[in-house]
Amino acid sequence: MSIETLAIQAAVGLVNAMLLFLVASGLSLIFGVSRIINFAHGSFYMLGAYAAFTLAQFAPTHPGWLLLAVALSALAVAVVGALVETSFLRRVYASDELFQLLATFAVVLAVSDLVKIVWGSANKSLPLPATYRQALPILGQPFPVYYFLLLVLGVVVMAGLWWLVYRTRWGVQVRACTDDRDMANAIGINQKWLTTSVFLLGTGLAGLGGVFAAVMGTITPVMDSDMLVEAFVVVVVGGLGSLLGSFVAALIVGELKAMAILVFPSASMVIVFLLMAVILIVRPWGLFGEAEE
Amino acid sequence: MTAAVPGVPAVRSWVRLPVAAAFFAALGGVLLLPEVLSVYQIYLALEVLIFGLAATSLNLLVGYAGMVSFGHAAYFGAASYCAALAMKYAGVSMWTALLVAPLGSTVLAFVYGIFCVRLSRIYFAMLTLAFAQLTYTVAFQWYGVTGGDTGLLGVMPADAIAEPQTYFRFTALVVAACIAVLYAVVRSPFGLTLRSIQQNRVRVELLGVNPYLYQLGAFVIAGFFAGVAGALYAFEKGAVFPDYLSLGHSLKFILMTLLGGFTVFLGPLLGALVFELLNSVLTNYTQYWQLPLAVCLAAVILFAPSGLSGLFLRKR
Repeated sequence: MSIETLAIQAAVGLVNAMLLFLVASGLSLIFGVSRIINFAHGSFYMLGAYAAFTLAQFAPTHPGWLLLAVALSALAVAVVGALVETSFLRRVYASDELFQLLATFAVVLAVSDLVKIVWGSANKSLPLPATYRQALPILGQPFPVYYFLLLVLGVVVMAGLWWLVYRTRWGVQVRACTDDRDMANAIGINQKWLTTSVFLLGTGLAGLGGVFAAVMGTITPVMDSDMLVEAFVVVVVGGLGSLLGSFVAALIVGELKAMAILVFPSASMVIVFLLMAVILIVRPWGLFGEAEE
Repeated sequence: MTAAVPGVPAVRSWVRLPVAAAFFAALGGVLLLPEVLSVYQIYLALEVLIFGLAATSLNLLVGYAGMVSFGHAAYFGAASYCAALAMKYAGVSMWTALLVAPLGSTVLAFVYGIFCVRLSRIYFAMLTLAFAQLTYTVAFQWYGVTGGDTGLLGVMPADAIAEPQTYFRFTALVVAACIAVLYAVVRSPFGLTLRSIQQNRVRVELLGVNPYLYQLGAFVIAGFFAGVAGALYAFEKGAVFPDYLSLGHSLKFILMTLLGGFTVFLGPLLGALVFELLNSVLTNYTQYWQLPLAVCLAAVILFAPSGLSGLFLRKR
């Protein structure tokens, strides 16, 4: 295979890695602070895609709508996520972790049906303005403009996320809670508000990922479970609760999948889960996580 | 009865008379069901029994050993595939396939289990998920052998039990035998040790017990019985698909277990019954059965936190 093919697959892998990171980082943050394995995370991702689809019905002609749709959809999903947390999930924090699991399943099932009721079971796609569908020649291969737009947007969001988590007071509290919940509680960090705000951010990131996925491909009522499983892979490989870990793992998984399609097309999915299993066997806490006792 | 040693409670006899009587009465009732049920209802009841067995085997891990597996469908589906592959490539009879299949899932559970039981809680759950997804993708992508997502067709039961009524009775007998053995397992010293590992691992270790061996044992036993269920399911459907190994199936088993109540031995079976009934009743009225199910789950979580069986049995 030629260098060009490799480069193109690498670029495709990069965009997918960014999408994976957006979703997985939200999952990881939520797990870090609330200790909940949020099976509903894929559902929020799916909601983001459908929210963008609905917004696209209103202003599809102007090239600027895409940016607006991205921002509004992610925001809408974030609000829904925070509402689900305050009205429902909050009640099970004190319960056995099995009930937390059951609670997030309930959200998965409910969202799955609500999506079908509101948007129908047929696949949908976003009507992209022609400006974004134009192809730029990179290494002699056509690349649609929206790929670059998503890459730039993604990098901006990642930078913002990094600033939030590593450079603000809120970020210090989030990391403190992730490290040691009881101690954070003891020194007076308001867990209730912190958890809600982390859900707001985490589900917003999932929603953002959903919008990106909607721009790149089709919107389906079953897109939640595929992404959920991949987000689990990224979070586990990178280390639960580690933002840097999720970033590196998303790159690894995104590129591994893109390259595996070239080398062993029939085993591309197998390799990803093999990586997850090997990491869990050799280093269960992940590449950048910290070993528990 | 073992002789009473001071300070050591005697292990109670494994099976008590009322339990045995209730068991055979229930089995008798179930065997009479085909007389009154329609063919559609017989298939529904078959799924209750099969998924009930799978969920009960999962509960050996969840309820008794405190190990939440996110990938129990791997052993269920692996047995389905073993049965189908044995019939297709080795040309064996249905009876042989039915015996071979759970052995296949047992071996798989042993191999995966060696790695899984070393991990605690969430990492255990994640590794079981990874192995299950691995198995699923192999079945999905290894077109030449497994037929990919078109699956393997023509996995028919032997003529003697090909009728829905007779297949139901056969399944009921097999499931009853498995449930009885699982009951004996959880009440045996092995089962009690499992529970004590969950309650106080360090103390059990100090008593000279190797917890890994017990947990691996539980994992393998659960894999075997999930395999029996998976093989029975393959012959019920007459076909095998990668979906049997999917996360969706694993989650369904967890759902049934928690819905019925993991603290009670028969909870998962009750959960399977409620789940399937709810599912079939709702799908008569609406294609949107997941939403009402979600509402039921939310109600269970908020108002009956020990599962449905907890509503009837209140612990003092």
